Amino acid sequence: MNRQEREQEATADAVTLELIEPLPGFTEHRNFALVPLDDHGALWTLRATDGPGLSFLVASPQAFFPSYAPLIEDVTLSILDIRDERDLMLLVLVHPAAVRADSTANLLAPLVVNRRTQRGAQVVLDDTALSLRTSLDAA
Amino acid sequence: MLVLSRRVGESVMIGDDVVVTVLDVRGEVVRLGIAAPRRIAVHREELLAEITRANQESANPQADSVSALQQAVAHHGGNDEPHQPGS
Repeated sequence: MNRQEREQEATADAVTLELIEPLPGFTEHRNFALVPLDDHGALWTLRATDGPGLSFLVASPQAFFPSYAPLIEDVTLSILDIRDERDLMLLVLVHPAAVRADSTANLLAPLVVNRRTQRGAQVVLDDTALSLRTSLDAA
Repeated sequence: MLVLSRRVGESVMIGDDVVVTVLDVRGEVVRLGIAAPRRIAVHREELLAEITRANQESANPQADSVSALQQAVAHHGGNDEPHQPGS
């Protein structure tokens, strides 16, 4: 399969994500496609669909940080209409580097997503132990 | 920017729903109380600035760094099967 066919197939697998509040620093973009990058749901590309040239690498935190289980406030769950565990999905923004140990994830401000409604927001957690830049090797 | 002076105990109202009160002043540190509905996020400005900067650093990552991480994940495999969104 050539690269174009792979990208088309990847886009067909994509789901949409609508941010109810834009990402700090990127107030122009609300609508994204979430495209899987691997077969385990560990890595995704979050690509803006309402404007060219913006994408992020995001990860399912469980794939890299199995003990990451932050408290999501009731008001956040309520605003996103997250009714139970099955609705709730967390994604963390990843800053990849050539060396895995230098790649970091933002655990302090994950994307909290309702996978049923495909809407979400970046939420700053109220936990001073969490970091904006946690090494992917620091599980 | 609106500039006002307030004494300890005095307040500022922002819109219909947010009240900021000067609780006390000790030396150079001003303690503020903020009453706002829970739907309105209130953050230290420098924290929001840090999040903005972290987001900007993460935007449009280098393709070879993404590939390196993809390969590392493919070798390791995932943990439990995370649910696919929308399924």
